[in-house]
Amino acid sequence: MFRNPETKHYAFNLLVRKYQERLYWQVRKIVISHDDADDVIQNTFLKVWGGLENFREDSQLFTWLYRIATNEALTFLKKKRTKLLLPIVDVEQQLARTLEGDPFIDGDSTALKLQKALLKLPEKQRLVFNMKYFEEMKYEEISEILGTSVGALKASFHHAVKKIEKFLEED
Amino acid sequence: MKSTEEKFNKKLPFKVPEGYFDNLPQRVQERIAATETQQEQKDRWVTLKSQLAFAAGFAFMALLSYLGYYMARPLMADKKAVKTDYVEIVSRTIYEFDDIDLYKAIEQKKKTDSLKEVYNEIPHRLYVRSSNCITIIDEKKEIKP
Repeated sequence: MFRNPETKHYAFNLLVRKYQERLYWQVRKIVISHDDADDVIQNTFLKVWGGLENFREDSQLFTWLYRIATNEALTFLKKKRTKLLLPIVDVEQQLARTLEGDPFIDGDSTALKLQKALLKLPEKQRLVFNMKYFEEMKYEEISEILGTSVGALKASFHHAVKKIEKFLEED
Repeated sequence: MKSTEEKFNKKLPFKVPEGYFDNLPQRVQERIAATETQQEQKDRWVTLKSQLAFAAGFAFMALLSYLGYYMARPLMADKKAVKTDYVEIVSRTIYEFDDIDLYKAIEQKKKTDSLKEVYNEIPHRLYVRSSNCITIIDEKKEIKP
């Protein structure tokens, strides 16, 4: 369907409808702000559209989409860092401030506390925690998306949980 | 011991504007259409640019060839003329020439050469005739009035 020019638009529309929410939430957890997530998700689908013809069917469609979305979100943060000439820590602080000021953030205190604690983690650990804990993905799937070994992912998740517990206790 | 799920609140604190996911596919399609139009314009411009560059290059080469040809023309014309003359002479004579002509030419040359030799041997003197004798006056240049 994707390779046929007559059905390509229709098939792509179905793909967007099917995966938009899951991809959006993955991106939103990384960039926090709704406006930024909206930009990133549109760019993600543009990339998907451009790469559909090269998509190899031996890899899972969902894994491929997830990888593009994650990379786009990380690139977005990197650009933000370069644009504002900020070190990594300051970007995370800015994201924490967004958590308090964004109109599309619910005021649930415990959920907010967890998100603030997550922003104190190194980028890789935050990604692994989000995918494992919120998305309930298997380590094998995460490994395929992030290109990291299962063992390293398990270690990252373990460290993340320990750190979050510590942050929440201190808070 | 509590599991990770029990330790933390799994609920996300994020929300989206109303109807956001209903409109997103449409907005994505619009963005793709806009990008494709831009890309088409870009591609057209790139094609036009390469064609213009090719035409300019061709015109430049043609101009160079034209100038080169007209700058070198007098030289080439001389060379050509010499070459043509030579070819003409050879082609003209080759049919008219035969052995008899060759003998005649050699004979003629021999005669001319022997006359020249005799002439060279005779000193250039003036002979003055007076009544019954001939007085030889030496070299012409020594004659005094």
